[in-house]
Amino acid sequence: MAAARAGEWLTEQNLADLRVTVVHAGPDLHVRAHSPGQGVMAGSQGGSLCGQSVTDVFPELIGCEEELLAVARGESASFEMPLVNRSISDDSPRYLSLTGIADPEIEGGLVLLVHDDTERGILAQQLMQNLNEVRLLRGKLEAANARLVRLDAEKSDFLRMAAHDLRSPLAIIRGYVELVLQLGGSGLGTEITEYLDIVLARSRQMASLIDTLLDVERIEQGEAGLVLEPVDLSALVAQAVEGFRVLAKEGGLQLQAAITEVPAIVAADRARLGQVMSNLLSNAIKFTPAGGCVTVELLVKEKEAIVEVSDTGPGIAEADQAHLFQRFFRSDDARVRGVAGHGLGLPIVRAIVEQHGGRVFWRSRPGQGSTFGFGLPLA
Amino acid sequence: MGRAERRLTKKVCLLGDFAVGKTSLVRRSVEGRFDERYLSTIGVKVDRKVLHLPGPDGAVTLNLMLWDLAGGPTIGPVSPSYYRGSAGAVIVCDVTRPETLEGTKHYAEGFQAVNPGAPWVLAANKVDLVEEREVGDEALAQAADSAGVACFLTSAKTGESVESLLSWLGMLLVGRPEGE
Repeated sequence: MAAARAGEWLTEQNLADLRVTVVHAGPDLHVRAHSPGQGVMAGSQGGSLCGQSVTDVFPELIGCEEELLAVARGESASFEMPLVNRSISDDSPRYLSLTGIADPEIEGGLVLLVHDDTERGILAQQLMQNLNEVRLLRGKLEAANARLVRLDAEKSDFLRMAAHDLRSPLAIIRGYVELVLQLGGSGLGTEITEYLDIVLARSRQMASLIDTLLDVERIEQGEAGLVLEPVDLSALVAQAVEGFRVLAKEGGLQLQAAITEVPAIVAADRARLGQVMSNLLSNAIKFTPAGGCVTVELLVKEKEAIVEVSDTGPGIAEADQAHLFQRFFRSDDARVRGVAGHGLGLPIVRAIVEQHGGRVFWRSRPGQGSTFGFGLPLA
Repeated sequence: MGRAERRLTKKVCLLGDFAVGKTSLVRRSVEGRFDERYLSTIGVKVDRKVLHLPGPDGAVTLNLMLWDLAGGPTIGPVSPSYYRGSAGAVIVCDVTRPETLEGTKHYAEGFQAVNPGAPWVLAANKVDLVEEREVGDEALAQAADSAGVACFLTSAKTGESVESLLSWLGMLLVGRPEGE
């Protein structure tokens, strides 16, 4: 009788075509009747549910009895429990939503509408799945980043300590060699003097390398305090080019400069910027074979001063390009051709330029030369 | 003459941040299996775990209705109906993610606001991931001590301490008079 009434109610509410099952419960919260429907039957053993407690049919309602009774008595308008997971397995998801309202025909009775909410549940699950996977990845990235920061700090500490420990014996070696050369004079003979000169040159080279290494470290860690002042980039670039003219000539290279007449004033540390120009020019000259050309260009675009140093050298292999600014990286080509260097010039360039709030860039194609440059915001 | 075995049914919520392994703990306990795939839970899924325990007045068959709830933070508020009427809770953290231990305080507060005085236990899950473990025993002991609860080092993958945890909670529930 009640089941037939449930069916009628559904038809009246135009819900018959939806996946809704109506369960009637008495004031004792035991099922008195229900309409047939997939919603209720999912996860249950089938057959009639009459006589069972609603919490037996829906264990999800355990603990909510007081709320249900309040609804049945008309003290609350309705009871809602969305997204009850009745999945048989992970591959067969099924979600129900439960809504309780007072039975309009039975005093103290409850009507429980069981809505098959699987489509919404699947969408909500996928949304949550994607969100949580992103959260997990973000957490892993943050943890990895924290580890890298820690390792970087440890590496810097080690580097400083090692450099300090290397410097002292090197200074002693250099001092004694210089002393021997001074005291021995011509009595040492040509051959021994030559050997000692080599020791002296190499120890100076090593000391210079240690200084450079420490310099990179200081700049990258932001510990090399910049002395900022208005710097006329046109004059600084022209001066740098002139400084390398002799070296370029010795290498049989043409060195050209194209400097804009537009004022290019930047807030910069003059000495550090000179170091940037020196590193870029030195690289271009080292890598360009005799007969080639190195061109330095300064231009102003919008609010940026841009310096480009181009060469007609062999270019850089694509595989090497991603590593150009890594410390100690030397291309296979540089090694094969015996070009001197330690792979610290470009890391220094990048660190200085970025410390000035600028950017570095490069273009290179094997066999067609390279361009390295930087842009700085105009003052 | 032996006394008749009592039968009790208690609602127990599993709470904790997303992906700490709440569903896996339930699955291990109820179905005796583990699945490596991570599948986010939404809404609520209820499973039944039957425990046979000694009680103060004789043996008890305890039906634990395990409420596996969506891990936080969720989209939208958690319905209070989910917590209501819970006799106890298992609050889960993941020993490879320290922030999930911090989050247990929030769940404990939320749970106890709805169910004052209801007991709960801390499950420090995924202890099988030894290499990735970031939460030490000391931090767990401190969290458990300050909350005045027991902490179990669990692994849904190997099953380590999963049954012990539920039995412990079951004993706490059986020892409590009805309605308390």
